[in-house]
Amino acid sequence: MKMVKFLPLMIIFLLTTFITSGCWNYREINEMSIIAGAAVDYDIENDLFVLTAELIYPSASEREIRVLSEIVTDTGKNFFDAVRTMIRRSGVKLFWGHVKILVISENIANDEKRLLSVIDFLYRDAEIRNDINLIIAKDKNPREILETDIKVENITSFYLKDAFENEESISKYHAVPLWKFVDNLNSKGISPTLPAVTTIKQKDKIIGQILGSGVFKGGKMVGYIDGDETKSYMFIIGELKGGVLVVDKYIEDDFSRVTLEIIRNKTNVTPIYSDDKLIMNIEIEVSVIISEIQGQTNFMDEKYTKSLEDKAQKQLKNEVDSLIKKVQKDFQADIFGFGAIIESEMPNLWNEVKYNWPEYFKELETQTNVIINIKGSSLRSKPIKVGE
Amino acid sequence: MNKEILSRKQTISLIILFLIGDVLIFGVARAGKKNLWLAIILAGIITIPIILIFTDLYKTFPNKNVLEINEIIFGKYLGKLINSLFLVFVLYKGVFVLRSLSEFITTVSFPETPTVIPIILTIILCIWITKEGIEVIGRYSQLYVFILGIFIIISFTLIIPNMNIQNMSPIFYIELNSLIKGTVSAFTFPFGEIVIIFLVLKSSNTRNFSVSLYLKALFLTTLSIFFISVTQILVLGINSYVYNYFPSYETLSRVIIGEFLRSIEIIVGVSFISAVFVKIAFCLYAAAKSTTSILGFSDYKFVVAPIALMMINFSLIMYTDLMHLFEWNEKYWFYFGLPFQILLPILIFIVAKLRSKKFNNQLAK
Repeated sequence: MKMVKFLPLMIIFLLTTFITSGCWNYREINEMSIIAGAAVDYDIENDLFVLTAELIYPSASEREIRVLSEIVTDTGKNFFDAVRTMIRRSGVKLFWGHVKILVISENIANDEKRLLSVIDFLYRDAEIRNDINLIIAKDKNPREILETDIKVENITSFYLKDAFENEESISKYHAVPLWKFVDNLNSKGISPTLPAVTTIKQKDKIIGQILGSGVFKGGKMVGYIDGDETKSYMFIIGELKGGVLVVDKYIEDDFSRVTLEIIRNKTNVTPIYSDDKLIMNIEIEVSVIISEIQGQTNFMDEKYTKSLEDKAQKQLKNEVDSLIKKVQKDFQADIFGFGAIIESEMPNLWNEVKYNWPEYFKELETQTNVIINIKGSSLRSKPIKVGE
Repeated sequence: MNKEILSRKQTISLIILFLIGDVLIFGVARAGKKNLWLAIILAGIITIPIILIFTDLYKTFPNKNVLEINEIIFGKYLGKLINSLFLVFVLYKGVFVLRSLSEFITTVSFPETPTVIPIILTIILCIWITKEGIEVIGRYSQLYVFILGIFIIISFTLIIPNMNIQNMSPIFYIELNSLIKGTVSAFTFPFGEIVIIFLVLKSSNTRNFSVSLYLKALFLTTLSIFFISVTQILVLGINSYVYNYFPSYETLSRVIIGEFLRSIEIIVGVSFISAVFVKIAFCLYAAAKSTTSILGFSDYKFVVAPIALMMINFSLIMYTDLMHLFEWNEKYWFYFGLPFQILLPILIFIVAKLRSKKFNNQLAK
C-alpha cells in the first residue's frame, strides 16, 4: 500500500525536476563574448552606424590569468542592426550586460535622430544596464578612444570607468549615467551634459584624455565647456565633492600661487522673485585646506588668510559668473537645472515661463555668493623658509 | 472539513496581497503626475464607503456573500444576470494578472521563453491551492505578507541614497485635472478590486467578523502602496515613472551599495510573483464560486480546473503583447472597472435597502 503511494509521488518529483529546473534560454559563458565598452560612429557617406566594441577574454598562461581585450568593428543601418551584425566578426553572440562605457562620436551627438536611435536602444534593452557612462569623443573618431596605447589597465573601457569613479578628486569632468542623461533629456527645466574625451599624442604613443563636457540642447549637442568650466558647472549643480582650487595671489607685488584642496562643498540655488524680475541666487559654500604654497608668504597668518579667502572667493565667483554668461550666450541650454528649481519652488511662475524657457533662460539674471572657509593647512603651520 | 474559515489576520493578509499584487510591478495612478501621493490617499478614502456598503449588506443578510444577496434582492433571473456580469469582471481581472505575470517574466529576464510557459506553471499551482480551499490561500497570505513586508523594508533602506527630494517637489502644488485623473485611476486599479473579495467571501468566512477588519486591511494596503509609489518617484522622477512599464524594477536596479551590492531588482520579481499568485488564485476561486452559484451547483471544486484552462486560453487571446496589455490597463480598465466597482455596489445597496423590509418579514417567517 505504501509503495503504491510512493511511486506516483516519485514520478511527480522526477518530472518536476526535469520540467521546471534550469533556465529556458540559458547561455554558457564560453558561447558568448563579453563586451566591456563600445564606441559608435556615423558614416555619413554610406548612411551607416559604425559600431566598435571592446571584447574581453581571459588568457591563461602558466603563471597567471590575464584579461585581455580586442577591438572589433562592424556597421549597420541602425544601432541595434550594427550590434547584431557584429556577430559575424566575433563569431559568438555578444553579451552587453557588462558594458561600462559607450563612446559617442560628434556627428551622432550633433544630430537628434541619430542620438536618440542610440539612446533609445540602450535605455529600452533589458540586457544593458542603465548606469553605463556615455562619453563624447571630441574631435576624434570614437574608435581611436578605445585603441589608445597607454592605459593603466589592459582594458580601455575599465580604465575610463575607473577614471569616472574617481572624478571627485579632480572634478574636471562629470560622469553622467545613462538614466540621468535620459531623465534630463526628458524634462523641460534642465539640459543634459556628457563628459568629453579626446586623445593626445605623446611622443609616438596615443593616450586618452577626459576633459570638459559636451553641452546638449534639445536632442543634440551644441558645444563644449572645458575642464575648469566643468568644475564651475559642478559647483553650481552641487555635484562637486573634491578637487583643487588654484588661487593666484599678489602680496605686496610678490606673486604666489596657492593651491586649496576642496574638502566639502554645499550649493544652494534659490529663485528670488521681486519687482517682476526673477533672480537666481546661487550660494556656494566651500571648505578647503591649504595644500600647496608657492613662495614664502605665510598664509597661515590671520591677515593673509583673510585676504586669501577673499581672493579665492572673488576668483571662484568670476569663474562661475563667466560660465553662466557663456552658457547663456553661446548655448541657451539650461544645464544648471534652473528651470527644474523654479518648477519646484515657484510652480505658478514656471507654468508661465516654461513654454519659452530657452529664451527666458538667456535673459535670466543670476547672483552668486561664494563663501570659502579655510579649515586647515595639512601638516605644516608655516611655509618652507629658504635660508640664504 | 469544508467549513472555510479564515482568521482575522488571514483575511487582512489576503486583502493586502490581493490588492497589492500587480501594483508591485505596474505602479499606480500614473495619470496623477506629481500629485500621485495625494491621489493614492484619496483613492483609499473613496474605498471606505464601498467597504461600508458591503459590510452593511453583510449585516442585513447574515452568512451570505454578494452573489447570494444578488439573487435574493433582484430575483432569480436578474440576480443571475448580474452575477454573470461579475463573473466576467473577475475572469477579466484574473486573466489580466496572469498575462502580466508572464509578460513580466519574459520581458525582464527570459525574452526567448514562450509566453505560455510561466502561465501554465502558475495556473497549475493555482488550481491546486484553490481546490484545497480558501483556508490554504489564507494561510499562504498570512505567511507571505510578512516576507513581502520585509522585502519592502529592505529595498527601501537600500534605495535611500538614490532618492532625490526634488523629484517630488513642489509637493503641495495641486493640479486638479491630473489629481482627479490620478485618483480615479488609483481607485479602479487596484483599490476598487476589493469588490471581488466581498463577492465571494461571507461574513461567516471570517472568525470574529467586524467592519474594522476591512478598514484595517484597507489602511495597511493604502499605506504600503503609498510607500512603494513615493519611493519609486523619489528615485526615478515622474518622467521615468510614467514611461517605464515596470517602475519598481527600474528603481531597484539603481541600487549601488559599494562594490558588492548592486541591482537587487530580483527582489521585485520574487515578491511580485508570490503576491500575484494570491491574486490569480483568488480570482480563480471567485470565478469558480460565481459559476457554481449561477449554474446552481453545490460544490465549486470540480469547475476550478476547466475555468483555469479557460483562463490560460483567454490570457493568450485577450492581449497581443505587453504594449497592448499596458495600454489596456492604463486607458480602458477605468471604463471597464468603474461600473463594477462603484455603480453596481451602489445599485445593490439601494435595492437592498428598498426591499429589506420585505426580506425581514420573510426571514421572520
